[in-house]
Amino acid sequence: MTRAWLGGAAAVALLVCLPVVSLLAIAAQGSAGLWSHLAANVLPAALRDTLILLAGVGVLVAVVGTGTAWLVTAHDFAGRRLFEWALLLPLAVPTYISAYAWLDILHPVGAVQGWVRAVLGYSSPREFRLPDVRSMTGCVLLLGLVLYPYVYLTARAMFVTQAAGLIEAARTLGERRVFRRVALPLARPAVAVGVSLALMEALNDIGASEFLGVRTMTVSVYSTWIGRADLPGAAQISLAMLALVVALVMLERWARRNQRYAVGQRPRPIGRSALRGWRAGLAMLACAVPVLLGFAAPATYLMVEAWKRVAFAGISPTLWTEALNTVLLASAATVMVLICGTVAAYAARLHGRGGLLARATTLGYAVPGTVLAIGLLPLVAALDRGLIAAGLPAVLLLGGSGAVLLAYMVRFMAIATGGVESGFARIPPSLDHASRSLGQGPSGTFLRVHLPLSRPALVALALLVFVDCAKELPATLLLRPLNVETLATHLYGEAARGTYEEAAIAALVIVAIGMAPVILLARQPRPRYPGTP
Amino acid sequence: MELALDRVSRRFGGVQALSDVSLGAGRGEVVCLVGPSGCGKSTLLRLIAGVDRPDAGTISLLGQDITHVAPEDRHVGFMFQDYALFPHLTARDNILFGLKRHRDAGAMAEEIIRRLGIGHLAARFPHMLSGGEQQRVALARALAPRPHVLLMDEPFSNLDRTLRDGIREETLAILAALEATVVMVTHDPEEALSSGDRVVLMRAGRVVQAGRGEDVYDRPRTAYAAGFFCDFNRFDGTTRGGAVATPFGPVAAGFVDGTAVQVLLRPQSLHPADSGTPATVTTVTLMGEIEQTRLRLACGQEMRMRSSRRHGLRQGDGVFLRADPAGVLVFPADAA
Repeated sequence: MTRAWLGGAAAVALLVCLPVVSLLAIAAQGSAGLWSHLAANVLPAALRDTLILLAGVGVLVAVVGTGTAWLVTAHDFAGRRLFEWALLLPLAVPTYISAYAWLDILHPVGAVQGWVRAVLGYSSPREFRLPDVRSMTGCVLLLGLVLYPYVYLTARAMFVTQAAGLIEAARTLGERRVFRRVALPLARPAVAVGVSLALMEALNDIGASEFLGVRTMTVSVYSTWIGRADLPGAAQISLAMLALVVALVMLERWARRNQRYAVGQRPRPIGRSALRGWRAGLAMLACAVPVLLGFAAPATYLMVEAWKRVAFAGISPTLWTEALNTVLLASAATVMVLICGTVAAYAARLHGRGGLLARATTLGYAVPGTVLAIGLLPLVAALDRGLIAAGLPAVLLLGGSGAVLLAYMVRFMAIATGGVESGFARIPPSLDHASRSLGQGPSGTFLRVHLPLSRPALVALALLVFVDCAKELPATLLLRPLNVETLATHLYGEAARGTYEEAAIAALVIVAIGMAPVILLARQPRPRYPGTP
Repeated sequence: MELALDRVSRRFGGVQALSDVSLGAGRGEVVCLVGPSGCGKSTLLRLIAGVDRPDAGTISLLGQDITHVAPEDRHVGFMFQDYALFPHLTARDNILFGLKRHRDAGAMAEEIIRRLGIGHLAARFPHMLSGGEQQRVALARALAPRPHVLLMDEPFSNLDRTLRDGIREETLAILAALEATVVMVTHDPEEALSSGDRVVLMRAGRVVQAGRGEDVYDRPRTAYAAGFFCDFNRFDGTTRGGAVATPFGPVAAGFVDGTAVQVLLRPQSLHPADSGTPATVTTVTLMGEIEQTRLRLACGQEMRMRSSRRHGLRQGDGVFLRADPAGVLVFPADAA
């Protein structure tokens, strides 16, 4: 029975690793001529732009995330409790939606620039305009403003759980600059983890960089495949991206390496120092700006635009269909991901070898959606050919939405495996042994002990996976069947065409869905099982 | 033998947790595994339960080799130190958990609930039970499927001191009434001596000595076994003429002349007398039923004397001490 669980976990691990293997295979067979063209004309510029973007975003999220986390954990000022959760809100806004909204908000003939000109006494955009948001600077700012919560979360967790005792010790020793001398060195690993997660998102982004005219590697992969139908070329750029991903993963692992030494301390709040006067004002401003620019402004804009659209034309049946597509795809993927992740996590609990397999199922989380799609394309095409040869309709994969589902599974499996594993970790092993000695086998023990005990964790994970699937853009864009649009691809299509019709409604729905995990995070639930000591 | 272990070994990485352990338990017998933490006693219990497998050796139950049988097919009951009650099930459902294969599960559960007198707890969830009540439910759950052998891992260590003795006595009475075969693990020497029909003392993955409680206590085979069950006073010396000199006079020792030996003297075998070895009282500590007096002999050696009597001694008092020869043991000095 243990073997069946291990087999299941192995199958899941294989599924997750396939796209990367296939990517290597296509890249290896690339034609020399095209590659030299890519290597000479596309790759260097794309690599440079990507690195500049990552560096800029990295610095921005580190400063904003750590700074705001320190402000709300170690100080007290008006609105602190509000900011504590409001600072998470930008997480609900996918990068492509933030870009979509800001492009229109800051349009040269839009309201904001018009107001600025009116204040300054200019009459036409020709006399004065703000620096164009469609630039590298604009892209760095935009991505930074929605991705800093990754750092805010990890840094705040570190300050909340670990810092109190050490900071008090530093104060009793007469140290005044506790942030620089104690808190910052303490938080450095957490900040590095947060930054690497934010950069993985930045690397994954396709909408924002494209709308803002920054030709990153993700954009290059997309255009090489869509524009030139050059799969080997796209695969080769993807491989270069994979190298960046590996670097980011290594950064994350390196930063996490000492974490196990830090666990086990009971969280205790830091004695907050109250800020007054201009200091309090400055703290409020520092917390308010990221929330306003990262969430409030784009969300307000979307609500206004969506309202205008609904009042003007109602909601078209197309949008309803797209919403249904989004929900169906995300729900199907969520179910599959949870089942597979649970199998892998339970195999890891049953057997040491299962642990390795479970690690393997999490490999997809860092792979950008475009890279994943390029790796999956030939696999899916081969499968479809096989189906046709067998006399079956090819609706399963490219013709249907099987490929998109597969991509969601690979990319978000880590959420399920990791989440279920940490849910299981709260169940003492003696419960497994008790169940076994009372006559239940591994599967009976799973059904009667682990499943009921981890239900709260599973519900939360389902929510997280669903939201991530519903927001996913790059892989969906590349793998969806021609006639299938989701809310995200609809928005991308309109933004790419420069038309602003129903996209605001689609974007608003996605942001609303994205609020769910933010609320979950803000509540910081610690699922406690009755009776566990 | 109901349960028999034959030369069982288990290794974890570089640590030999168990080496060549052989052990048996007859029907209705309570066997107590005792030893310091890390001696392998809990590992042994896990091997018998089947949640871990030995690297070598065999385990048999009712004459059948069960070394490679899955834990769920062994009919071995296990009571855990933390009780391991399923938090999502009521006490009754916890007890029913192991009875799914039985047609008359309900009746069997009611039977054990009645025997243990926990009817009033049956509908409650584990978090609504006190420590003692949880212990009782865990015992009922382990006994309900009528296992061939019941394993108990530190079954009383999670209880308050004040509750522990009473619950232990009750539990042992129930086990005796059910004629259950029990292997119990404890680190507490007194608990082992008072609970077990047979006491198995372990150290570093090996059995040091096994036997009835009075045997291992009164006639320890090694200085280690002696020291585990009793805080001895110790003198080092060398044999001469079949005896070794101590402050309390020569003690007979059956060793070749010139052997370095240690003489162990039970604190409760010392008592004040009108004449004898002179000593000075350093501290008097009341430990409840007994009183411990620390004394210094003329040679400078520290002694402990324990007695259930109040001697009325004070710090600085001079006394004469006598030693009861029954409380004196001699072992080779280097014996571990």
